[in-house]
Order: sequence, then C-alpha cells, then structure tokens
Amino acid sequence: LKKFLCMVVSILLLTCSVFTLAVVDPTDSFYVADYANVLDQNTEAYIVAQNDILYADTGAQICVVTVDFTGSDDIDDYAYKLFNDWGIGSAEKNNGLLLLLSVGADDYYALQGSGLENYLSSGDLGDILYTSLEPDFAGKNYDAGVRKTFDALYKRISSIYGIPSGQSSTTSPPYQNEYYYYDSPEQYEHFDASFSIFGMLSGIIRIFIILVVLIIFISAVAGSSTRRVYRGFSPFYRTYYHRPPMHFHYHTMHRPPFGGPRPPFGGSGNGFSPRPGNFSSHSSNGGFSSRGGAGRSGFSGGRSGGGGSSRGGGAGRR
Amino acid sequence: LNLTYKKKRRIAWIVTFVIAILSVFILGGWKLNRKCENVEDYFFNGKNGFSIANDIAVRVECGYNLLTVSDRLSFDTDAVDELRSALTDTQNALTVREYYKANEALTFAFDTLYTQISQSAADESIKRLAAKQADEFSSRLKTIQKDPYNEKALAFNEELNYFPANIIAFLSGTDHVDLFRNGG
Repeated sequence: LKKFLCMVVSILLLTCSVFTLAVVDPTDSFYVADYANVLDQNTEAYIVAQNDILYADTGAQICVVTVDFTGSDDIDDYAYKLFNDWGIGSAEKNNGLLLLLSVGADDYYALQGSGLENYLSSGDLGDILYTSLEPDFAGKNYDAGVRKTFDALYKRISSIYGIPSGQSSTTSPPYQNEYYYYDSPEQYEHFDASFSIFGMLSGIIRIFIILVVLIIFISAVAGSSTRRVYRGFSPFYRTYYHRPPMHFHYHTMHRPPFGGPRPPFGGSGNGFSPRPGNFSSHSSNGGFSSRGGAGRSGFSGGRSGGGGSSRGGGAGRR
Repeated sequence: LNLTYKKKRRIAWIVTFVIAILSVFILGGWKLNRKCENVEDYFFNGKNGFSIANDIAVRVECGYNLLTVSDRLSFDTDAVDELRSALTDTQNALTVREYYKANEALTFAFDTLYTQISQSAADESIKRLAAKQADEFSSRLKTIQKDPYNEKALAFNEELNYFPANIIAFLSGTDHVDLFRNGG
C-alpha cells in the first residue's frame, strides 16, 4: 500500500510539475506565435521575412509571442522558460530576443539572450519597450505596437552587428569572433590551455604519491616474501615466489573550466570598480572581441530555434 | 625463521594499509577542497564570466547611476544616504553570505530612492533615466534568482553529508559552502 501511495504521489507531483512548466509551442514560422490573436497577418509575414534576413546575417532571432495569460507563472518566468524551451537565437552566440505579450494580463516582457546582455542591456530594452510599445499597448493597438517595437529591436540588433537594418549583408559581420559563447568547443580549448599547468602539476603530485605507496608496498612485501627456497640438493639452485604484476590505472583530474573571458562590465573578481558620479551605460562597454566562428545552426527544412539561451533578465512594463 | 617472516609480513601489511588509508584521505581531502573551491569560484566567476558577483556589480553601477539622478534633482533625503551606505557595503562584501546581506539591503535602498525619484521628478527625461536604471537593476536580480550557484552549492553540501566525504571533510577541514539565500 505504501509503495502504491508513493507511486501515486510521485505521478501526481510529476504531472503538476509538467503542467507548471508548460509554455506555448512554437509555430511553423517560429518567429511569430500569435496565440492571443491580436496581430495582423501582414505584421506576422513582415516579422518572419525580416527575421529570415537577420538570422542569415547574424544568427540572431527576434521572436514575438502573444498569449492571453501566462497561467501560474509571472510573465518574466514564463518568458524565461519560453525562451530557453524554444532555443531562440544562435546556440553559440545566444543572441536571441523574445517579445512576449500577455494580453489578458495587460502586460508585456522582453528578454534577451545572454550573448546580447552586454550590448542590449535590460535598461535599454526597457527604454525601447517604453517608447515603442507602451503607447500603443496602453491604447490596445497591439499590432501597431508590436510592429514598432519589432522594428526598434531589429534596428538595434542590426546596429550591434554593424549591418544596415533591412539589408542583407554579404560581408562577415564583426561578431564572428565574439567571445560570449556558451559551451563552444573553442572555449574549452582556451580553458584547457590556460589550466594545463595545474592539471600537469596535480598529475605529477598524484603519480608521486602513488609511486611512493607502491614502492613501500613492494619493498615491504618483497622483503618478506622473496626468500630462497632450495630444491633438491644443489645449494645454487633457487626459485622465488613471484607475485602477479600490479596494474595501476591513473586517471588525470581535469580542472573544470572557470574564470574564463569576462563580460566587459565587471573587471576581475568581484568586479567592483570605484565609480564617479557620472552615468555609465552597460551596453556601451567597448566592441566585440574575437573568438571562433559564426556557426549558424541552420534551417534544415522549417524554421526553428538556433538553440540559444537566456539567463532570465529582461525588461517588462514600467 | 617462520615466526620472523610472519611478523614482518604482518607489519608490511599494516604499514601498507595505513599508507593506503592515509593516501585516500589526503587525496580525497585534496579533491574535496578543490571541489569546494570550484563551487565558491562559481559564485565569483560563474560561467563565461556571467556570475552572481558580476550581476551584483552591475546592480552597484545602477545604484550609483541612481545617485547621480538624485544629485541632479538635488535630492537630500535619508534614502540617498541609505543607498550610498548599501553600495559601500556591497562593494566591501567578500563572502557569499556578505554578498547576500548587502544585496538585500541594496535592493531595499534602491527601491526606496527610486520610488521617491519617480514620484517627485517632474522632468520626463529624468524619470526615464531613473526607470532605465531600475529596469537593469531589477533585471539583474531576476538573473541572480535563476543562477545555478545555489544548486551547485546544495549538491556539494549534500555530498559532504555522506560517507566517505563526511569523514574526509572532517579530517581535511573542508566545510559546507554558503548558499546565496537568507541564512546562508
């Protein structure tokens, strides 16, 4: 009975968690999902067409999603789940952007991928929402507001990558070697190189300890067991007890990568720097630095998310 | 002869056993310490430079920016002093626990001053400047709340509760790591 109860409880909990985690599914067009049915078809087509160009040039994606409600989730949590479930933006550059409208809750939220955080801060995002979306959203002109906001976001992302908005670029954009990658192989190569000395040292110390133990063990055991056993009458004929060879498996301990490339804002360690009273913008901290290739995880058939992820910041309605 | 041989053999086994045990604990302790350091390091350096410490650093910047706005408005209230003090405390924080406490105080002080500014500022552009800082400030808090540091710290602390990690931790002096939450 106990087992049965446990099973039932587990299934119920699992079901609950599944329901809690549910977000809307992406549509075939991927870039726009108008579940609240507030967008014009032309706007939807426009968003898709513009995104096709943007993705081809930069790997960035701007998804617009409208829902009636977000259930038990706050709009920011819902946006975070949706963003990462859909994998908006390039997996390597995490340069996706999500605009979520919860029409029934009279709220909206925009969330950027982690790779965009330092170029399009949440403060900037909030500003764009306030100027482009808020007036129309407040007047329930959702379609107009979304279009204006999409244009503003598109323009902003294009400018980050140095591409004239609305035009397809054939040249390699400057982001190609940017270092804000999540889990790119190049990154681990970098870390491996940085910490190979640590790995080598730790390996040497471990080998040394193992050798010491081994020598003591062998000498102690061999000292007592390798005694002469005389056979027959000849005092010169001798045999030894032999021990089976010992096999040691040595596993190197790789130090997990840490302390990698840093975002422009923080400096090192705790990242605090003495501050004058003037304004500083997080989004204007220098250009892109170089690492690796663009890596467009591409369209094989229908549109899809590039596998990008967000850390869950973003900006909402003020 | 036989007796000596047996005695020697026994001693050899004992010595070997003791050395083996010691090396397990020494190596284990060393490994555990490194694991502990890695967890703590995650708080400060995180993954790809994204970490709670860096998010807090950005929040501190927002705080100073808000102070600049308050200067422009010639604000001279307790809220200004409180925010300034909270910013200093946050900058002086060294441990995870200190960071948490300082961040809590910072959130409160920032919100108080921001509310005062947004209510009293007549100039729309000033309001927008303050709102932009508030957006970034609260956005970073949301990011912090979703950071996997606490999961990592919990997993490590959990590991320390079980054999042989608990014995190794006891012998090597490795302690539980602080969580970034109330009470550590």
